[in-house]
Amino acid sequence: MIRVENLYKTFVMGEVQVHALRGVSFEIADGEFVGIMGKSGSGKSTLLRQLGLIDEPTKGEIFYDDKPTHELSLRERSHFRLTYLGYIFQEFALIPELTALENVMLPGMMKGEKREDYERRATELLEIVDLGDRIHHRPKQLSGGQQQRVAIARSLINTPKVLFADEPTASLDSTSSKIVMETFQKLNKELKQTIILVTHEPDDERYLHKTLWMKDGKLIHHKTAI
Amino acid sequence: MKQTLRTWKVGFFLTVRSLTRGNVSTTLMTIFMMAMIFVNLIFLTSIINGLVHTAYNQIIETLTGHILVEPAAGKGSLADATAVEKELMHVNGISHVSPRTNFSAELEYNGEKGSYRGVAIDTEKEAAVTTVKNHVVAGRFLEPDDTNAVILGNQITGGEDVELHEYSLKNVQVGDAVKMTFANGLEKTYTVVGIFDNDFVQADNRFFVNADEYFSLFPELKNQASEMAVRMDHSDVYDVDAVVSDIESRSIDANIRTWKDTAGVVESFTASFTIVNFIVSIVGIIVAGITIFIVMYVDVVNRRKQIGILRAIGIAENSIAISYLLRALLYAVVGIILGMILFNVVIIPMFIRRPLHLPVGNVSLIIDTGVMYMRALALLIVSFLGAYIPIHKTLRMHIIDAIWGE
Repeated sequence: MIRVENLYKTFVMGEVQVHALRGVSFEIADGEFVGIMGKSGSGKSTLLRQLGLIDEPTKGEIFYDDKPTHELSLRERSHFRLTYLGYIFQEFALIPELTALENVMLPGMMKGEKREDYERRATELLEIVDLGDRIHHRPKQLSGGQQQRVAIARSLINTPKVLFADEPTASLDSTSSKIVMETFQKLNKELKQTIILVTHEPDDERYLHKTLWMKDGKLIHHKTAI
Repeated sequence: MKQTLRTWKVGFFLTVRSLTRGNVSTTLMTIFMMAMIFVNLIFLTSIINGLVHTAYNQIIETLTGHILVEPAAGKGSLADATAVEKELMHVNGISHVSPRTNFSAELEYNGEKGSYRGVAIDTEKEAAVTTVKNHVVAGRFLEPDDTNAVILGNQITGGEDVELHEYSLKNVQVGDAVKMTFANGLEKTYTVVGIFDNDFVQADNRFFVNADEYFSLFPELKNQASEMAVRMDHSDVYDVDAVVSDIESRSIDANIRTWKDTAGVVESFTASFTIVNFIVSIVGIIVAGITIFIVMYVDVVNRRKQIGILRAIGIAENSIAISYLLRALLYAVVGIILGMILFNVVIIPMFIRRPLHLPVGNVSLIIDTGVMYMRALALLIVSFLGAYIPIHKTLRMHIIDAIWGE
């Protein structure tokens, strides 16, 4: 379970202070598929980065299974991201010199498992995201949608507790977007994977269990699917 | 320990993939640049080494031989020169000895006059000790039975390319007659039978006459010598200092000096070159460091987003650093090897075929292996630092600044 208490994030740009998050609190249960929605500049991506431990809040607390994260050192945060969290970026974010399989394998290699274990799991994950026939392709040989699915597979290699996705379909056409969202839905249903994604597409709501609406750095309401 | 191995494994994996699947032309250009930096680091040093070696060689080959035997302090000449020469020839390692009588005389040709240093020699012995005979550029070397003959250094005859032309007799040719006025006022006319050019000013502002001819004018000086130039048999086998010690242990009343002791001005120039060489090397290494830093900095900046993403997905910062540092070191190692091959196989043979023609003589490139390895080590160290600073700086950045930042 993720519990967020009174989260603030302020960016200082010269003499100007930008309050991106202003006292956000909520809870997400294991296995939920949650969307964070809102207009541009509402603070949704900032919130996701705090949850994914990529950034540190100015004030407030994030608990994973009731354990506070603010006490973690830089190395511990890195290890926590590697072991418990998966992160998918808007811009695919694959390493161009690595094949699809190697991109997916990399966090597994870092975790220190046996090569045959993480290679087998990477292959399985690429099959789950329907890229079983593209495992030796390099990112430039894949379409945008395929690259995003490789990124999804990579985020799952270490069986994370939570999967974060920051506008994963923003750079994709509607067909690829649909495939990616259905992939998330499949992961959530079949693997009980907790997924939190930022999206500005109202149509995506149909895949979600819960939607957190943001405005001016505040959570304005929760909406739970019936 | 396991974590360290894992960190290295991932770093090594990223390095190998980056090298084998990255931009080949960028990799080749970087390696070529490293090779050029390495060549630049050793090029000037090897020219200076070549210059010093040539100067030392000229001293040995045209002036002093390996050892110079001079009169003891307070004495004007070596008495009983024949006995001294005989004694010297008994020393292990000595192959030839050339007794010389130095004198000063005024030469006059076609209205031009100048005071020059003359040397009375036994022509065959001198030819065995020095290479002046091989550097006769016009006419011939002195023969043992020459009487009214003289050979002049090109600094005395003069000419367009001669450094001391203004102080010369201005264009004396073989066959011309020059009037020689000795210190005691004695005058005699000599025929120029040869002109020598050793490419070494100190050796080429002298003239030679036959010793028998000189002693016929100054019989009281017979069996005396101003100095004896000594040639060693195998200077690579026998140690000069050991031979000097051997001579000193014998009952020869003389001052024994090695060629290096007589180097004087050349030695001070050499010391200056060593200092210049040191400064140039330091500057070269600093420039190399800055160049490598710029290349790696541009590379890291271009991959900053990728570095941020690697960190975001949990790849250890040390693994990322290792991948960049290994790549930089590999560029340096391959560049150094390429530079060494280029230098030893192309540049040095080219300079041996076409040496630099400098006033001190023909200069080729000479580099000491130890110096070359030291420069290689220095380049490796600056490559490491040049890569470490930008990657360390980027890894200290906040992840969101690395991925989305300015």
